[in-house]
Amino acid sequence: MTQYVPFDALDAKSFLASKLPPLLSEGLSDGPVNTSPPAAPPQAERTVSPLEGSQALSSAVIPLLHLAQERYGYIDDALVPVLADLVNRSRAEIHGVVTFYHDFRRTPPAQMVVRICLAEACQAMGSDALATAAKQQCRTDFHHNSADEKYRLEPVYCFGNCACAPSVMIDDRLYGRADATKLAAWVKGAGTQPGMGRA
Amino acid sequence: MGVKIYLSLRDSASLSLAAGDVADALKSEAKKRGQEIAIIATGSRGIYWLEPIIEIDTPQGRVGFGPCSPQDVVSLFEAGCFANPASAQHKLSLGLIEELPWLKHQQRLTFDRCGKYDPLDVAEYERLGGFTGLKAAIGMAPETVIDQVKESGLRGRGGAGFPTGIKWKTVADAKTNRKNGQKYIVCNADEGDSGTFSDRMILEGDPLRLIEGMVIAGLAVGATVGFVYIRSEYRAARDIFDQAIAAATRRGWLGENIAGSGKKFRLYTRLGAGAYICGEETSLLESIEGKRGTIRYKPPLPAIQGLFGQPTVINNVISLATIPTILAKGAKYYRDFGMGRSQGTMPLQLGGNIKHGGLVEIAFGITLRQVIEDFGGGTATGRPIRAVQVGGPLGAYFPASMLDIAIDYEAFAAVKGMVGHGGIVVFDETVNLAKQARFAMEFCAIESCGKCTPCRIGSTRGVEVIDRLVAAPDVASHSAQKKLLTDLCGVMTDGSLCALGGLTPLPVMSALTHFPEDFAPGVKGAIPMAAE
Repeated sequence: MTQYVPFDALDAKSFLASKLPPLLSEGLSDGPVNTSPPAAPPQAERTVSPLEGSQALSSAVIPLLHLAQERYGYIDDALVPVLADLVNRSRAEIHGVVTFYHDFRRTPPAQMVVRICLAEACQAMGSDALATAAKQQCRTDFHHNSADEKYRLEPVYCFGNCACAPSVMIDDRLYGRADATKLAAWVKGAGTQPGMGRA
Repeated sequence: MGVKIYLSLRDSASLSLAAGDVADALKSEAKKRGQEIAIIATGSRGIYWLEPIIEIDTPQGRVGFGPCSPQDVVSLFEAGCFANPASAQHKLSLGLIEELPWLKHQQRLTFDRCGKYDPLDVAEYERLGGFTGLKAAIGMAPETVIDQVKESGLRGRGGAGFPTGIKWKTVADAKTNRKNGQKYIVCNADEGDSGTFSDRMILEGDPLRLIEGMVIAGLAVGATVGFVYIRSEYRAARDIFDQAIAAATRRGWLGENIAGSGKKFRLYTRLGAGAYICGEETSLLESIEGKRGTIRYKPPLPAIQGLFGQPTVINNVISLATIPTILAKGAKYYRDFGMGRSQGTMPLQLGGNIKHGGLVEIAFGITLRQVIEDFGGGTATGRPIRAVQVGGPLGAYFPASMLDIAIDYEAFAAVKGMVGHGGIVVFDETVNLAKQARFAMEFCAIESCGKCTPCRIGSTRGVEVIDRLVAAPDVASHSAQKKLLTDLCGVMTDGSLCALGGLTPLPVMSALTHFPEDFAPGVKGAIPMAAE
């Protein structure tokens, strides 16, 4: 299980601000109206032109959301204005980004996140039955936490493990050739036992 | 240093089969026995049906043992597999790994190094012939590089099959919208199609090859910055790729002065966030720019106005990773593989209900049946094959009777299918194609970016129509719903802005055409002819 920092808007402000500078230097230092001297100062301290800066700020949004979710476990609604201020975008735009991408959760996750692949290659090897078993095992449905906040179940469409279907991921660990029995053992033993990918 | 043991510890799929636990067992058993071993973490060769495979050097070549579980490790030591690998007898012995017919009958041009070495060892990559293509490109005029790519006949391996050289030429000729503006190379590593994993294998198993290809692209079109957009389901691949960028930079293959040539190129990775649509090139650009991944109208093409409005090459991982081979061995060498207008090799990915699943790179022209039967060995469950979906969730379902089509862009188009990114998903007789068709619509509804109506609304209506079609109580209502579904698919095909809405009808209509019986469970006489 993953340990998260409890969300706090002030903490988020300083955290995101500290992560922004290295992202800003990425890819845009040869930008359109940039006239940097031959011996450029360290990337993080570079001054950027307004246009170049706005593009760089904007392209930092998704990386920053990932970092925030890794830290807090989810994207709190109160993070949206903090990020909007930091990157000079409207709250509506940031809200739009958060809600567009399936990865960003808007409520705290459970202690363990169980992801089941529901795409075609895994369907061909019985992912439907596996999903049913997972729902029973974790006592919850897709996109929901169990009542005791222990498990969260999420569907995924392909881990690129299609030759070893069906696949599940428990927290950050991917398992291939899954079935209901193995899933039960992995869920119980996650973090303590090595997972066996094959019969 | 003791016995060198090669084990695929960089590849996510290998790790999902407990390769990491095999490595732990090897280390602890070796320690117990006082035997010195050195485990070299490689990518995967893609022989997933035999993984995890332990490989050991012998004078004749690498010998392999697999599939290994941690429990097999003690017996491998006892049989002398590490002391005398060439002569040791063990039930998991595979003999010389490169003599396995499954591997030997492939034509690995892009995957020639993948799985053989530690992909973060830049010196080893160089020793295996890496960066030969880049060195050749540095010595050429940019136009010559582009001509080589054009002559090779390479077409985009992401799925659309657009000639790579022509795309590059367009970007090379395009003007940035400001003086000294920046052109970009963007690699599409948002490999979302179910049944595909070749991009992931390169990112994890031979990332330097992709880096080499991107630098060559940069030199050819005059771009000095590249982005690799990796889907978030591939976090492990992203970590390895970032390390590969750092390693390549340290040895001067990226940065301000590439291989002492005075040319520069810098490379960055960006992680997606679980949106399938971001595999569409313009959505991908929007996503790198930090916006919702909605698609853009075309024209303007990304080659003219791409990332941040600048001329941009967007290519799939496999297209870019194939470039070094073309530059190192010549356009003619590559072009001589394949058939018709599909030249070179295609990394096919065998997945789903398949006995011998994995990566099969082979020249275009082989039939689907040869791939599935000769390489794949039939279904994993042992039941007869009923349907095969080629080209991901937007690819057509073919019945077992149609497997003699050649893997070739035009041959597939002629039977209303597509090669796409080369994913082949096999289903046995338990599959219900009405359910698969419904899923195709459902998936489109989940993943639609919402910009155009045929895709956004059509996909949801499609699910409803399929439900009514399957539940139809009589012939009249069945044919009415069938007509409606066909109409709807026509609207989506012709009216959608991008391939998601435009190609979702492909799996739906192919299922309806080839497997009509699955759509009419309760209606006698609804199917004009006995199917199959």
